[in-house]
Amino acid sequence: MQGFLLTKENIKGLVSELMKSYRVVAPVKKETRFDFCEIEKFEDIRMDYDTTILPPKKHLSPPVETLLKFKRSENKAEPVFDNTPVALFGLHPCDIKAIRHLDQAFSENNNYDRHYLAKREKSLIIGLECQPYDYCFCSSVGSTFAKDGFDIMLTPAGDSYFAEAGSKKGEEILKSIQAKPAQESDAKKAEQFRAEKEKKIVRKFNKVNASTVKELMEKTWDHKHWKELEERCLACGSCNLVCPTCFCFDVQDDVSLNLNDGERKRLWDGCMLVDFAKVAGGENFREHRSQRIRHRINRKMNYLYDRFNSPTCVGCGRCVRACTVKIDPVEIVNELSK
Amino acid sequence: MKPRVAFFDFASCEGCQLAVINLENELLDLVSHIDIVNFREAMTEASDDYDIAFIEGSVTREADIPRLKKIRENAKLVVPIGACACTGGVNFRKNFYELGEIRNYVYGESAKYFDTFATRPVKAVIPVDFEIPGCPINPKEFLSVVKSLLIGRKPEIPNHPVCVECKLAGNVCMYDKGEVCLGAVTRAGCGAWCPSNGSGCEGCRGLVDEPNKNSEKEVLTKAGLTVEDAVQKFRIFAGYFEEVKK
Amino acid sequence: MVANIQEKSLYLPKLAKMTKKERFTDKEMFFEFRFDDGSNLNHRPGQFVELSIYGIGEAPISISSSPTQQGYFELCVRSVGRVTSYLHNNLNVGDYVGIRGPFGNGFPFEKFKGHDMLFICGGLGVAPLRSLINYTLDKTKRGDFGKVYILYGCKNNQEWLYQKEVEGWKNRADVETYLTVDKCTDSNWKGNVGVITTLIPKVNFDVNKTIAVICGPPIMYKFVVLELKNRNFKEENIYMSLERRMKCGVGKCGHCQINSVYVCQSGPVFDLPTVRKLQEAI
Repeated sequence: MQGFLLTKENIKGLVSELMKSYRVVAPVKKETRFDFCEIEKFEDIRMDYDTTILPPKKHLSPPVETLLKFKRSENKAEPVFDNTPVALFGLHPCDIKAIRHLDQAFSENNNYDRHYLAKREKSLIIGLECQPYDYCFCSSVGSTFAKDGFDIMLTPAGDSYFAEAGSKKGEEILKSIQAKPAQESDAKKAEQFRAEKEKKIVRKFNKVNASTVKELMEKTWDHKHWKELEERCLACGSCNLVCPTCFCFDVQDDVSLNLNDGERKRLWDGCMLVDFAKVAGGENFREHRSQRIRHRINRKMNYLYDRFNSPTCVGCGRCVRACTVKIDPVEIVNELSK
Repeated sequence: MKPRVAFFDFASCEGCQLAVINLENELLDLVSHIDIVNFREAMTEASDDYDIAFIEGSVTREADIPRLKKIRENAKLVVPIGACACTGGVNFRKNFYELGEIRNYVYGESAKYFDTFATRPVKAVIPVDFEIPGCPINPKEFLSVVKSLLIGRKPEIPNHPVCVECKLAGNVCMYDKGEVCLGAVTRAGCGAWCPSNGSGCEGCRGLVDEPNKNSEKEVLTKAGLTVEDAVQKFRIFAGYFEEVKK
Repeated sequence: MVANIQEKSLYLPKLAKMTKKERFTDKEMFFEFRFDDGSNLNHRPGQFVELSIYGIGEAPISISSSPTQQGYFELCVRSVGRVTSYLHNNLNVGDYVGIRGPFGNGFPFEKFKGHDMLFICGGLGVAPLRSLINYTLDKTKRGDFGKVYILYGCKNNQEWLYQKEVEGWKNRADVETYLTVDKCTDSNWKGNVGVITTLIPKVNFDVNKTIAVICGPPIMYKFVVLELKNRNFKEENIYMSLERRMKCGVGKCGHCQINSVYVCQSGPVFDLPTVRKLQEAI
């Protein structure tokens, strides 16, 4: 597809164009960190962000989401779908790939989760090529670059951005802002930016890669390292909750004070939490922290591999960043492959 | 018939009852479903005929015991509210001192007029049905428990740490800001109240089940606390827990 | 993504009316439900439903009746959590609950045809197995199967479920029924005392043509499998239904996951060779 060259002024134009028909969500500064928030003006966007506290997932599958509204007295319920158009602006390739995983998870086996999909179908993804920061490790899990999953992808090219459309919608938008077609030299600059990014990635699996990590996980089920991790892990669930590819959820009912109207909601859940695999009768199928860490890391590297044809983990590094004891998938994989 | 609800207080600051009174708007809706028959903090009438007893405060005197037993006899459901009633709260700190010494320290010359014994939570004296922890209680959680009881549903207090609610709230981690926080081992339900307002969790809701004590100790010492500081920090609210006692 | 799918929620239950409620034990009750439109649940033995009560929540419950029983379905429910205790204590005949499902794979009874059947039920495990037992014993299906052995064990004499039906099984000439209690609490009890595995040596089955189907508390599986292996049972002829926490029933919420498998989709019924590949299964 044809490329365009967007100056900073053009980007501003793009964002204001989007704001006409979308809730625009973009990385903004939050205290010492960044977060994906709905913006009111272009100037709030931080194109130079490293990573965000929570992944952009929160705008497609919110931490708390109403599934049904019900009336107890009438035993009546109506599903709730929120399909407000949202444009997710400035997503790094890892987060773009993560959303691809969510798309699949919420539509597999003919079980179409319309609560997610209705929102997703109305959404727009504007990617932004990045530079590695202290915690990420995308090259080990095959998510360094986004080949698809975006409507528009922006790559820094000198003072401007090289823009590619990844969808018809994206192309139309780029045309509508009268972006200038890119020259070959612009495409080269973008290519250079990506090459430099790849060179700067230092956190890596040292013996396996995105396609062989699955095999390693299968061979290391009984590895003593899982027990060692049990000593460190606080089982606080932070790693799950900041993960762009965790999609497990709990379901809870809320009633209002009239004791009649209520909502059935889903909430983000995490497999590191003690009650995650515990049944009402009391049996806990992953009682020990070591079992739960093994489950989490396997789920990210192995269990869903055949479904996603890739590790589920996208190497964004948020889990390491959020962990107070710095439990790190890269260290774990390297320890297991020693 | 509307369930009859009573509030009682023992050794406490009455802040939890105040949290209930502060519900204002919701309280009006609530009293359309319940009859409040005993609430010293809010009304003068008092009755011994009630279904649900909410108890604030810890048990610190011999004389508290028969009073509690009477409440247990009268009520169908006994629900301690707040850190003091659930785990002894701040009052439990005195148990780490010699009783006579601490009594003299607090009451000075008039100490002899004040009967006292080792602080204990309500459940150490009478069986309880549910608990709402926190200092003070989270009014939203209180409402949710009351609504549950009213519709015949078992109330559930979260069994995960404050970190979960803090992440859901999208907060910057306190440790990222160089602050100490006990959220990783403290039971959630407060909505990560303190971290959301810029200060680290003090552990007022008590420990989660199976806290990783050693690892938490390491986190705190890495953050600059001595082991003694770390223990003292937990003793503000969680002295009742075995993990902190030792 | 697939476009043009009608806005439909996977999580919206269909209402069913409680038409029978009967107490079995202190903890377990039996329920019959019917849909107002008279439709069938269209389940396979071994499948489960998500039972939903607005304001309370949802719980996965295995279906206890055979699909040959038309116009209604039955559940045997232990009161252990929010939903189940509410169902026991607050709902009565005439009240409605929400039903989603049936979910899961169910038993591959087509494969069982022509075989002798050995049912091994521990405690509440009899509930899902009863669906298959009654299917096997149904007069329209009985000819599809050979001999039927039913092994059923409870913790004590107060915990029998489906007592009348168990009596019926005992009285049938074409069924061998073996009962045991872990601990005898009834002085009139003349049957076996001991865990369920102690019944296995008493049964004279032909390992070459018998299918074993197991359901019970998690602790039971390993020991039963061991005992069957002692009798040279073929691994591929051993089936079991596994319990897990389930919130959605549609392979999304993740609670039921065992290694790479979502129990609500690929299970809850597994053959032993599959279970062997799932390190966390039993």
